[in-house]
Amino acid sequence: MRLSEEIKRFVVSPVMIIVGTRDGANRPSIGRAVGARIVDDENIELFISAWQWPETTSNLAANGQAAITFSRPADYVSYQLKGAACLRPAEQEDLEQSRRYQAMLYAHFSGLGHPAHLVSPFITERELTVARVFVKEAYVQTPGPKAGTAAGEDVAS
Amino acid sequence: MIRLRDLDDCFEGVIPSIIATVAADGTPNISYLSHVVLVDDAHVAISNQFLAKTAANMRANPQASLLLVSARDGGQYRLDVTWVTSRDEGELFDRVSDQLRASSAQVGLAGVMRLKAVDIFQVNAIVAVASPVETIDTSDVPSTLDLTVLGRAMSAISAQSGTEQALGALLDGCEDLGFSQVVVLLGDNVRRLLTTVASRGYDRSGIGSEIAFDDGLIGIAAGSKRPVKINDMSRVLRMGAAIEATSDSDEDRTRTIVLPSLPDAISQIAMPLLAQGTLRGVLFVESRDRLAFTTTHETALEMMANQCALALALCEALAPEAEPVAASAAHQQRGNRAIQISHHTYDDSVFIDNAYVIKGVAGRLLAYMLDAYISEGRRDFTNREIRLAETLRLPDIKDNLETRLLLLRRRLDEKNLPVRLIHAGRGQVTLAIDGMPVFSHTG
Repeated sequence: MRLSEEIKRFVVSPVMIIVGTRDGANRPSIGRAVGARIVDDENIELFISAWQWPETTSNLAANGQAAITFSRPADYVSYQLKGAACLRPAEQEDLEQSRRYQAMLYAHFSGLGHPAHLVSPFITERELTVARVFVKEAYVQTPGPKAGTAAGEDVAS
Repeated sequence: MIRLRDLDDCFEGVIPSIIATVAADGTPNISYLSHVVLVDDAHVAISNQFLAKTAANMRANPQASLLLVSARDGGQYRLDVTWVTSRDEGELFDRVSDQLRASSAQVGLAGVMRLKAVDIFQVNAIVAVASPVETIDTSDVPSTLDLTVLGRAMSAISAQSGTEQALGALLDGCEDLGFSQVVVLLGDNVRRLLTTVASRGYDRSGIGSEIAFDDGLIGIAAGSKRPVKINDMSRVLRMGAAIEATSDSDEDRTRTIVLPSLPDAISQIAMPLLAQGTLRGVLFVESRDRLAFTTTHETALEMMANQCALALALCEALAPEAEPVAASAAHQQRGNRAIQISHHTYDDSVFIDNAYVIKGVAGRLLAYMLDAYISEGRRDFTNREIRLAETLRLPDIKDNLETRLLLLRRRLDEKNLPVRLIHAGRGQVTLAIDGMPVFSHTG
């Protein structure tokens, strides 16, 4: 599917990124990503610490199925994307992009009055891995009556 | 091994928790959760508000994963869980529903967040997620408390023989636990109304202020007879507008006394005062600290609140046994200044020299005593005769007359009025009037 401009802007802003995956026995697992990049209209990349979230990266390596939520701490505006991922090792450029996200997120939480020591345990670039996700579905997930409805596309695919 | 009960501050709803489920076709799904509830050593529950996809997935594949975050230090915990059942009634459902209602009401969203069901999960494993930094607990409040402090408070409350002293011991006990802003409200189960009878730590005592059952945190605690708390109001919109400076002239105009309130409170708890299962009032405590009320603190406040409820019930039960006093021989010298007293029967509000005093049951009590003073010259009243007075016609007054008289006495003192009540021993009060009261009854 084609990602809307609104979603493209949102996923690279200072939002919390959660990655849901599953293993061969359909057991789910939760991990976090430390930043995202828009590749093109249909693909995004996520930066994930394989050290902190080993189940997430091994599940993605095994079957690629992923659900990713992007959620803004200030107002809980949230989107969920679903698709198929493949992994590659992070390069310098990826590390730099992740660090820009980390700085942005710390600043965002600081603006909300959250102390940095509550955020630091979420944020690590140790064994940073890149998951490229081909997005097949997108949903609005902001709490409320619209939660779970399909997020609009700019152009029908 | 990590036990669920060690994750106390993950269940405060301060930092959102997350659930992952998997559809039958293997597609994962993620949802944020407003609350994860500790059920027992092996089970947790989640409030199901908007989670259609999660609910459908759980029924197809009961395996789920939860990510909980400690509100004290940011530490993350992964729970591998299996969905057991969904409930839309019962004790657990009611408890979660009340808490959700209270949280929403306190942030001005009353009625928006309605609980559909609670989903119960068996917890198979708890794993601490690796942290890149050492987690630091910088919370202002220790998560434990000294049992001897609680023991002293409990003993002090039960040692009191009077309503005023029992309430005072409860306020002292809260202070000894480290809580400086405390309000005690008297419950009227017939009119479903709470009235402030004691407070500590506020600019204005708010004695005589009222709140209805089911209104806000305090009202929900009374209506449900369950403690409700909020441990981080900074997470959500706060009702800043409700906190405005009030003056005596506002009271005179609106016949409403404003509840005491801490404008920058971050944690609040409302605890019912229960004796033999009957609500006698509510203990409300608030704090500028995040996470001020751990489960341990909540338990301590609950024990003190119920101890106080028993003490108050005993005071009420013993009060009528007091012997009627002989009419005071020597009338107090009194001034000749006329005191204008007006009693509005439609809401039983009483004004003295145009200043609003009180309304409702306490207003009717005051009017009754002033009437007897003017028509018969009586100053001394016993709990027993007030209970029997037909003109008061109150089905519930016998249960909390002592507390009502205390509330009235404090309100008169606080307003510095020429009409006062004096506690003259168990079950006895005396009117002290500095002037010549002139009574007017209006509709």
